[in-house]
Amino acid sequence: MTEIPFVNRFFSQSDEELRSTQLGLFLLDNMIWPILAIVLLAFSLAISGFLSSGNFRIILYGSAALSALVLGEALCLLSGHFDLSVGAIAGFSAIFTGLFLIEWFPGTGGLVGILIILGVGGLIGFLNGVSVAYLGVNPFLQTLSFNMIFSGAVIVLSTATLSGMPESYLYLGGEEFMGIPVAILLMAVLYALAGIWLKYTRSGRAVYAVGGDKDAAREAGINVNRVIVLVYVLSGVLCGLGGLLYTGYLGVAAPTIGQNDVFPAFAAAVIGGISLFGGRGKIIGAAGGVILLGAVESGLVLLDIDPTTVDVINGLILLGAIYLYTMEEKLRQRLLTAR
Amino acid sequence: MIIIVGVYLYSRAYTAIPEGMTPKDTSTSHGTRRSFVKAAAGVSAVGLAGCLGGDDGGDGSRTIGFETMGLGGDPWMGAFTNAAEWYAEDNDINIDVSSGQFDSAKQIQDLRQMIRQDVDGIVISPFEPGALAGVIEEAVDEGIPVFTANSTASTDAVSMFTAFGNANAASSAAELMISRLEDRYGEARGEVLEIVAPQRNPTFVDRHEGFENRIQEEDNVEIIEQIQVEESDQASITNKLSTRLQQGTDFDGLYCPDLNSELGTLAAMENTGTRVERGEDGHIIMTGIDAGPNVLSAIQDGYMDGSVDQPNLFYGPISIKYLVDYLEADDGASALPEIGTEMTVDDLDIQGGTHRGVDPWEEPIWAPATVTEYEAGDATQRYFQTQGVTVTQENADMPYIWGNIMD
Repeated sequence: MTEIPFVNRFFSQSDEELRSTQLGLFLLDNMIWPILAIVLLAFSLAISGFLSSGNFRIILYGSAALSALVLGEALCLLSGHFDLSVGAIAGFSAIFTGLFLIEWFPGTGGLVGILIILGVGGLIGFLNGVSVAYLGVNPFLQTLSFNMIFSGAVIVLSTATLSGMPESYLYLGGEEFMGIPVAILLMAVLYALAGIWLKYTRSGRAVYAVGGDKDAAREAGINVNRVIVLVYVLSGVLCGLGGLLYTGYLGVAAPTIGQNDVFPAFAAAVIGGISLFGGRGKIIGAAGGVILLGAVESGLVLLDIDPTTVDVINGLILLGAIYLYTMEEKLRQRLLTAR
Repeated sequence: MIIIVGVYLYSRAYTAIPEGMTPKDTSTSHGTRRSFVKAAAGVSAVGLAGCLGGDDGGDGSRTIGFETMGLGGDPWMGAFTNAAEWYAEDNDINIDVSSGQFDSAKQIQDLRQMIRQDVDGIVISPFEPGALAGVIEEAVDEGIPVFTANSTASTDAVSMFTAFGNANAASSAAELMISRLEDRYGEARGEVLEIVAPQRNPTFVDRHEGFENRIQEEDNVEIIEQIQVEESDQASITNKLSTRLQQGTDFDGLYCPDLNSELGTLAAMENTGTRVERGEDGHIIMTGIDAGPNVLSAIQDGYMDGSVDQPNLFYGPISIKYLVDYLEADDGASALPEIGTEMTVDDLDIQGGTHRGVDPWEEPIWAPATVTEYEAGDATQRYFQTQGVTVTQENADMPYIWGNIMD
């Protein structure tokens, strides 16, 4: 039997050492939350009313559609892949469905529209997954191609902003339930469900396994290709949902939907602790990453910071997160190997 | 990290229409779009998206290169381009349309391609005046006359520039704001919030300065805050405006410099419960530039006070008409209107067929135009300055407004 030193050391620790190690690992796994707390505190000291319920509602509501894309991206990253087409899928599915509802088949119900937008997203995700899993296409090139194709297809379909969609179609993104935007509630539920699925189900854990070591996962009996297709389909459906939430949020389907979202989707997931290399990270952390980006944007607006610097600041935050998580990995190793 | 940086650079550099698609691929006439719709019923939209081509127009002997500033997500520019395509088609002129993707480098590349194709003439809406000057001079050196529409380049090589002018449009939006403040207070006084679009784009510089300069002429009207928006997408603008409006609406009016900021602001107002009809307490006086379909609805519903629009359906046709006249005249310049003259409908008749169920040129809203000299940097050029249209509740449903045709 192969000797694994750090495992042996881990199990040979005393109860107190074990608790200390577990606490250390817990803190490392949830670093996003203290970071978020510090950022919120800093902005609240600088800006009166920053932490008011109204402003926090705006931050969460304004981030809801992006959070759907981040969730999709996070699933791909956890499986050791990534998706550069998240924004393009969101934009294309929103415009495609918008045209379907108001030009091609006017009078179609909103529920049908919701099924179509999720279906379009899922279908594109399926094509991504099949290409990557079964045809062996590099995920970067596959999703880059789809990004170009579907961004271009949006403009082919319509340069105009589309309006006049059914109220029921706009409900999820545009309405409130008990004073809280439905989009916020929906995304909170979806993140919770995704977290439970990944932690407590066999298929969910398979995502981590594939992301951690594809060969080992295969040897453990996991159908790796099926897992890859599954995460891309889920990512596509979530991108469709993002398009739907954007449409409801704006009240219209604009051709610009999702066009600048690739970077924030990656950044939020990575800042939230999802490993770029797969197999590590908590999905709830990605939610923290989205909120962090939203809070920073809100704070910079209220501080009247030149918007040209926002990207620089977001980049610095991302760089900081990457340094932090690189340090985290070293700390993790140290904790696991400490006697 | 490399991946992230690559993704980031790519997402910043990429502007909606893929590199590698030909100018034909980027044409978006509505006829093409309808063809797409029909075909999409049975065929995957993915495959079609990259394959559909635009209509080159008629079989006339003249071929004109038409370079837009960009098309992605900009319906105003889409209408501007469509009108040029329609006019060319109706008047038996070949037209090759390219989208500059709001990128000077792409525009320079497109113009070099047009020079290689040896088109008879070029109509262009430059993204940046300085950047395009050199390549325009190259074209003229090759014997290809260049006309500018909507925006111009800082070179004497431009034969004629046709526009109402962004600064004029912004000034008209300020006039409307002042007028509404007078209605509210019985005198011109109040506090205004201005949305400022990226100032690296000369169009938005004009739209900022034109508004600001006119407001500053009033002693008691003050711009109390400027919200700078960087992105062109509505969601980002909505987020920014929502954040600001949530802090309070302690101002009287709000100015939006373009369609995206108008739509983003309207969505933000709805999301924050600050969208109130005219005549009711809490109404924010809202004026702007560009009257797209959804803006027209907001004006008709009373949520927005008005928007100044340019006769974009005429810019291309006027430029093409004079370009063809220029090509056919022995001495090209003699075909152009003289500087110092006023042009009326008796002097210029833009005609074509019916498109989308209406004659887009039936109402000559460009007239009367004045022909003056325009100073573009160190250069001067012939300037065909059209009229603009201030769209309010009274005329928002008129068919001559592009937003109603393109709806």
